[in-house]
Amino acid sequence: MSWLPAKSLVRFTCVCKPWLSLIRDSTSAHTTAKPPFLLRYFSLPPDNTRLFCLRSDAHAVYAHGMLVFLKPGQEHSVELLREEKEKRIILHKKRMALLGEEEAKKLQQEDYEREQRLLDRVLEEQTLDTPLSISELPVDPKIEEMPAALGDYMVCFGMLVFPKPGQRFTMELLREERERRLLLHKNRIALLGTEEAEKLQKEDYEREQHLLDQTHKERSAKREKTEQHHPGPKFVELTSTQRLDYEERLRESGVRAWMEPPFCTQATAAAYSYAACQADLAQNMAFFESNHFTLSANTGLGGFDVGDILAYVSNIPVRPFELGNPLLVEMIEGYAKSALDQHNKYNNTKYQFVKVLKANIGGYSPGWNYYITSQVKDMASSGSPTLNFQAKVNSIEDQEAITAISPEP
Amino acid sequence: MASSIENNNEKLTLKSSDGEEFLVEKHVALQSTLLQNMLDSDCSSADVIPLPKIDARTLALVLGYCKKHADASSSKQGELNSFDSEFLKDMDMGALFNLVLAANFMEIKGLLDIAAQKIADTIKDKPHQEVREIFHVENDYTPEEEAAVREENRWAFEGFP
Repeated sequence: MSWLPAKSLVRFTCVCKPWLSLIRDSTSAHTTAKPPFLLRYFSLPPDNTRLFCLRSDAHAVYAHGMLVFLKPGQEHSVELLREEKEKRIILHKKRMALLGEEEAKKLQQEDYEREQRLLDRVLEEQTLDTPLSISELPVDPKIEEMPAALGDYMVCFGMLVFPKPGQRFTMELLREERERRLLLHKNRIALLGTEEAEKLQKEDYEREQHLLDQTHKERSAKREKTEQHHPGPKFVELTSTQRLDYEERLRESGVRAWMEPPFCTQATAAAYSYAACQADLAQNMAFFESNHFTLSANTGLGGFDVGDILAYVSNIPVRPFELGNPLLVEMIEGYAKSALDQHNKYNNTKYQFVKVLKANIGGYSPGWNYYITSQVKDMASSGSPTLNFQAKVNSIEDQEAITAISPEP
Repeated sequence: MASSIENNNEKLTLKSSDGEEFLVEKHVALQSTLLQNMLDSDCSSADVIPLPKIDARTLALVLGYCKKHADASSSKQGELNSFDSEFLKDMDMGALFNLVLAANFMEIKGLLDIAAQKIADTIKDKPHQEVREIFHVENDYTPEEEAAVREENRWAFEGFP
């Protein structure tokens, strides 16, 4: 068996069923109990650089011990591999800083094993393999020398992203990261099946959440230290369990959760295509923009009920706004009144402002979004019944704009 | 017997499944990990070591291989390589299978490698239908199932019926 080339072996899966399972089983790197019959052919030595054609529009490069999937039409290049390598170095350093060396190494080993599993499948799926000569892979010395420390990070679209030294966060960067993850997910689906891919995706998400919890802990501790001298509002971060509750609530009120793993609507192995991947991406971005930057515009609901959580939580999109100060109450009342005035003007109604019941704030640029629930009286009806009104006001540099107002459903 | 194990010129007697006895020098027998372990653990107290799974024809071939490699272990590798290919040349499939089984049982890695490689080289470019016949494997696929497995790995079948 181990003396046969991979292609012949794959062909001989057709001989009979026992051969099929024998060949399949022995190609899996995880059946460690059995002698690794085919590993000689089904896994490559680490310096073996190859280009694989997986399907008509999907290519992968295996080089320097990394498996990298290419976008359609994208050429494999030293640049691409270097970026991937740098990304991995940075992630490993951040993990070391946050979780300790032992844990980081364990995760790295896990990463390796997960990738080997994919690679095994790639080797079975390949329709063409070309040895490449990418011999040199220079890595930015700044990254090599980067100390293991928390440093900067960014959470957006449910992704935890660490920048390279000197790199600035742009939408383009986030889009790329998002695209990279979708591409990986699609390829996993095609190679391992939907179930397995989704399991891996969930694992990815949990591992990232674990790291995120640690970054929040670190940051809170740091802030506590510095703020002992400058007392001010104390910001805290939700733990992953609390955040799940929060997301559940947002979801119930019709808003797609903020930290959810990337969702792919058209992803099946059969329907794999880059166009579908792009469509998903565009859809997800649009969804994010409509639901998170202007959280309530579509539903009229999201943002008004975030549940029983503390004000000054910094890792969620919308948090309660504390009306602890007469100036702030006045400001919020002003917003509520002008929103109501506008409603009366356009709908020919006679609602009169009574008081503010609750206010939430969403801290996304541009400006701040206020989600205000206030009590009003309907002066046009007999007996002037009271009802609750919801208004969403966006404020940029003291210029306010009412973006939505409607009676509470 | 224990004292005689120290002696390199000591000979062992191996008995094939069909009752033929072979007299072998100890250093030749040491090519087999199985025999080596038996000698080391001194369980070869019997004068004759029975090898009930190996027939005389195959055992003769195995011992021929072992003798060449034991005598030549310090000499040129190239010479051994040409011996190996000459050794297996013109051997039929049945003999090769027996050789693989014997080498596997007696734990002679070098022989196992070359014999198995020879079989692999013979079948690697053959269509799977022919491989079925060579190995006397019964086809337990329905035509539909076979087509499905084949479709899954279409790339491997390019140029095959």
